[in-house]
Amino acid sequence: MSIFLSLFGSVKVNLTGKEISRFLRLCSTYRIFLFDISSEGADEISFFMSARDVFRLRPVLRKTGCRLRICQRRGAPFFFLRYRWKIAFRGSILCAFLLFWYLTGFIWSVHLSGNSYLTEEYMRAFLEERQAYIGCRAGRIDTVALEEQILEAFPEVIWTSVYIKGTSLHITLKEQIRLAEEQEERPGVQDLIAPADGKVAEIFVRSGTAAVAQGDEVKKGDVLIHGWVPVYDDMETLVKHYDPVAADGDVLIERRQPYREQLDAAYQKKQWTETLRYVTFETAGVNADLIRYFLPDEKRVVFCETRPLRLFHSIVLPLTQNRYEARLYRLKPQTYSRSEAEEILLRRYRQFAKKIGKKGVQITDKNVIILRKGNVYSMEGDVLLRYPAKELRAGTVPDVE
Amino acid sequence: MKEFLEQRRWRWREEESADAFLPGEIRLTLAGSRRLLVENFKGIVYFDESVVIVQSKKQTAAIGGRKLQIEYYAKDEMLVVGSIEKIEVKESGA
Repeated sequence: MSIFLSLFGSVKVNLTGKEISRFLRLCSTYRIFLFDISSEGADEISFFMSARDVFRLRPVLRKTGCRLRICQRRGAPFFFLRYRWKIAFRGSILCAFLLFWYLTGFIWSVHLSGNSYLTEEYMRAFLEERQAYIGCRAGRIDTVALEEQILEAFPEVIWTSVYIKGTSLHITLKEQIRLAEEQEERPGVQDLIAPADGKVAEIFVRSGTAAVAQGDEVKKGDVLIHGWVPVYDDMETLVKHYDPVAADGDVLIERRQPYREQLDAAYQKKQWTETLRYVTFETAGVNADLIRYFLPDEKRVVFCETRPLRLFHSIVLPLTQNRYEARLYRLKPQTYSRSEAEEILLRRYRQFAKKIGKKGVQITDKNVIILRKGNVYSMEGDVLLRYPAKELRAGTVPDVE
Repeated sequence: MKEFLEQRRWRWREEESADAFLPGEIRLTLAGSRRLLVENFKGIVYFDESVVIVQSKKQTAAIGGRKLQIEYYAKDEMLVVGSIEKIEVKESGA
């Protein structure tokens, strides 16, 4: 409200008349906002109101027969009106514009997009070496040359676009997808090996020769599918050579593994007491960490939202605004109830399943129970896991007699 | 004892929220002796430094004190500040 009033101006009004209470009632009906109303004696009050609303008072004054006198004017419109002929005022506005015009000739932010392999820090260091950094003159940057330098320095970049918009330098990259690197073909014999100790639950061979059968016990690292294929002649006799291949197939190793997770019944619960909000301004590129001077010495979680100040969207000013939200809390000792503890332990179990699931491991059977021993809840038992075999290892072709 | 107080407090809050806006009754919220929020009123009957009289459909409230001022006055509420010493509420007919 105060910013609004400073911007559009407010006036202090002295009102005299017999029907002041009716005047106030009509003001509220007309939605004219009055504040700091004080009595100045019999049939006389003074109050503040927005400068814009003064003209809306006309019908109210006519109805109530009150007389209005403006005693004080405050806010930007009156300030500009009062000092419009002062040389210093006009000079300072001119200086501000000149300073603004001068500062718009510099780069105040660098936007990088489209990069995935090249990290932002690495690219920024590269750009700084080429004199394209925050605070450098925009006119000095040769965008075409910079594009060529990026293409030359990074072979994985297949296309780039560099342009300056306002006070920001925008760099867009397109990187080559490294499919060749991911699907690297390895020559020679490649055996498929067991990822863990256990029993072979399923085996299906696509290429190669099975080294184990369903139900066999294997150790981690044992060969499951050989990376070679025996070659027979028409008489079903083994020819004296093997064809080397990369072993491929679906092999699942089953293994029973103990599962144990513990949870202390006593814990410290965060009790949020207060939320403090601060706004600080910093010069671009300088991290002064001012907030630590404001925050009280209490336990807290601090969130910070940083954004550069902009003018007309594209002109980034050399100032950043940091909005801090500090949530203060106190720790209160609490105890988990049975249902809460069960919920937490089950959540942890689900997280465990999700984590191993990302590696392709499946839980086919579980036998776990939740117990309370003293002040500790524990989830104990075992789980039946199925590991898929994916890892290949270089092998050798056996000699044939 | 603590539980009893807690229960009473909750009951009071429930009652308060249920009766929050009874038609025609003035709602006065006093913070210390410096600020008084007046809601659900029709208009000001009289106002000077030592007394503010507000009226609703059913009631009239007189707020007595020293250096009384209205910090803001809007359609639905107003805030009286100053040194508040006395609040008197009467049914309008009485």
